[in-house]
Amino acid sequence: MSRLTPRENLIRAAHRQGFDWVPIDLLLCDSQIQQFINRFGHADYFNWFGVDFRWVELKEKPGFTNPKDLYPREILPNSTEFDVLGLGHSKGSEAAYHMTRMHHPLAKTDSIEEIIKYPLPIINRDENQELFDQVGTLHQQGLAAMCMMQMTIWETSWFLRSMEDLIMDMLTEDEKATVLLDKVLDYQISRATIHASAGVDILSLGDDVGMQTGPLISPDLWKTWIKPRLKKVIDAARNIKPDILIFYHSCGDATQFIDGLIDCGVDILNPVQPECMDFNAIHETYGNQLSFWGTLGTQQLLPFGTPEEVREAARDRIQTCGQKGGLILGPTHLVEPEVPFENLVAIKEAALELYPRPRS
Amino acid sequence: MNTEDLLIGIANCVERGKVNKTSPFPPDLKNQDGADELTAKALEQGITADQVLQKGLVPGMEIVGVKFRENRVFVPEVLMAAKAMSAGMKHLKPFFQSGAVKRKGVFIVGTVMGDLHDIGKNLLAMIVEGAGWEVIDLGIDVPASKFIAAIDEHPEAFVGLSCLLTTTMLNMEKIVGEIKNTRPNTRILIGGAPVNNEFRARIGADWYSADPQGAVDYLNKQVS
Repeated sequence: MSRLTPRENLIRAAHRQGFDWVPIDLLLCDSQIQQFINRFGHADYFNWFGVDFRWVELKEKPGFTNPKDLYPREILPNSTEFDVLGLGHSKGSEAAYHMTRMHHPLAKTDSIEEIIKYPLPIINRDENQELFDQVGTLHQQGLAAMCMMQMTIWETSWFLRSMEDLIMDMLTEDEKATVLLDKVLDYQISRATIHASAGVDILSLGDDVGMQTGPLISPDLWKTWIKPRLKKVIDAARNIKPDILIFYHSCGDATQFIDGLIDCGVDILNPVQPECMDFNAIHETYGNQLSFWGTLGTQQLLPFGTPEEVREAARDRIQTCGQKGGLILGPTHLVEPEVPFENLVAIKEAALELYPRPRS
Repeated sequence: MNTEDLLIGIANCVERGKVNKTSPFPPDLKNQDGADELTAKALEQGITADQVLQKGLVPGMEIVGVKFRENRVFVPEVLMAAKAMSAGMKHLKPFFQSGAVKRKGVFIVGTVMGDLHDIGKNLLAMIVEGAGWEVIDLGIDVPASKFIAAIDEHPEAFVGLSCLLTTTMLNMEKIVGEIKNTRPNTRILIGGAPVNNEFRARIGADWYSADPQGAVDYLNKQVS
């Protein structure tokens, strides 16, 4: 067999069709990146750790002119910055590092009109040639392209409306919930469509439906309101690129949603938090239908474990998944400032120790 | 309706999240009286405010706390129950003001400095309030000084600290240290995804609970 490119190896592993080396992934917070730069003199940690894909980005234009106009019911702090959705992010104390407090423009509105008229971002194919070119270049380099569409339906809607208001709308079957969720659905379908047209290999979807102790919302509520819309986003992408891999992220214990996610067409579950999900049990039940991305805990193992403990957990995951693969190994979440660098190196070492990567 | 039926009805409305007659939730109780109407009726019929609270509203919320712990209801149902509770509580306001009804105590709660997460803390606040406690919610990103100022205003209060991030566990430890050093009689409860009982023991807090009802059980024991 000819040698696989990193992209081919990643895609084969994600389809559980075997692999030459274990793909890994990690995302560092700002202070970790700075420490990496201090150590190596550059910021290209993806290359150093051997990550086989790169994120590609869709260009979207804000649909609003003055974001403060989106907040008729709230006086925002002066430090507030706005993202393309019009969500306000204000700074916390210095101790909050990169975290910001989110402001919800549609919170407390009683007006369906306001929801209908809310200006979601504008996406234009002509202004996204760069995305198409980026994907092409990555493929030429033998790397896979992955796009960020997490916070797909439930979270984007709750970010706009506030979790409490959206939940109340859903439980009381208020038309505002239908209008908002459908509006967000249309927006996400247009994003999924353009990503798939550009040839993106992995569509990264997700909505947090788990808490540490179990589901955040009842699986029945999810099946009624969220699941059908999630499926429509996936179907829209697959209509254009049938082999696109569907990655789905939910924090917390998402066990009770897995069957529904498989029904929707999800291929890869992320991050499988080991503090509240039993990886081996999940793999035993779903290992023939799903692949897993992450799995090494950022609550306990990575910040407080030793490099040997990290290596041991990594080996265990790799061995559980076996020779067909189905594992992209890495931290379950963004690597926060207190994780020792040696523990990240231990992930890389464990992956290479069991399946050495051919020299390129 | 007799006294017992009314009190059971109030508890049921809180448990099911039935706010008032016009509320469409839950669908099987459509057009029936909610916590709002039944609490008003109970007071009109001469049931004491204390009985309405202790035998109607509080038991309803307690069932919700237990069901939440057992994953039989989830965040939306807790929010709706809290809303029903509050619809009943508004009728009791004059009785709290006159002193005819007393809360079990004061619970000061906040997410620790550096941490901006509030869902878990809010759920805790709702369930503790529903158990008959006065809750003073200091919000998110709360420094030790703000906790201490609130303790000075309510020296008998219990304090609940919440965090979601491993990064802010360190701040939780510092805040517990500062409170214990300067206000040693204050009892502190901690909770949040990354913390556990071992961490509680190490930082010198008094109680850890993985869920809101565990905090209620501890608080109620302290005043029983």
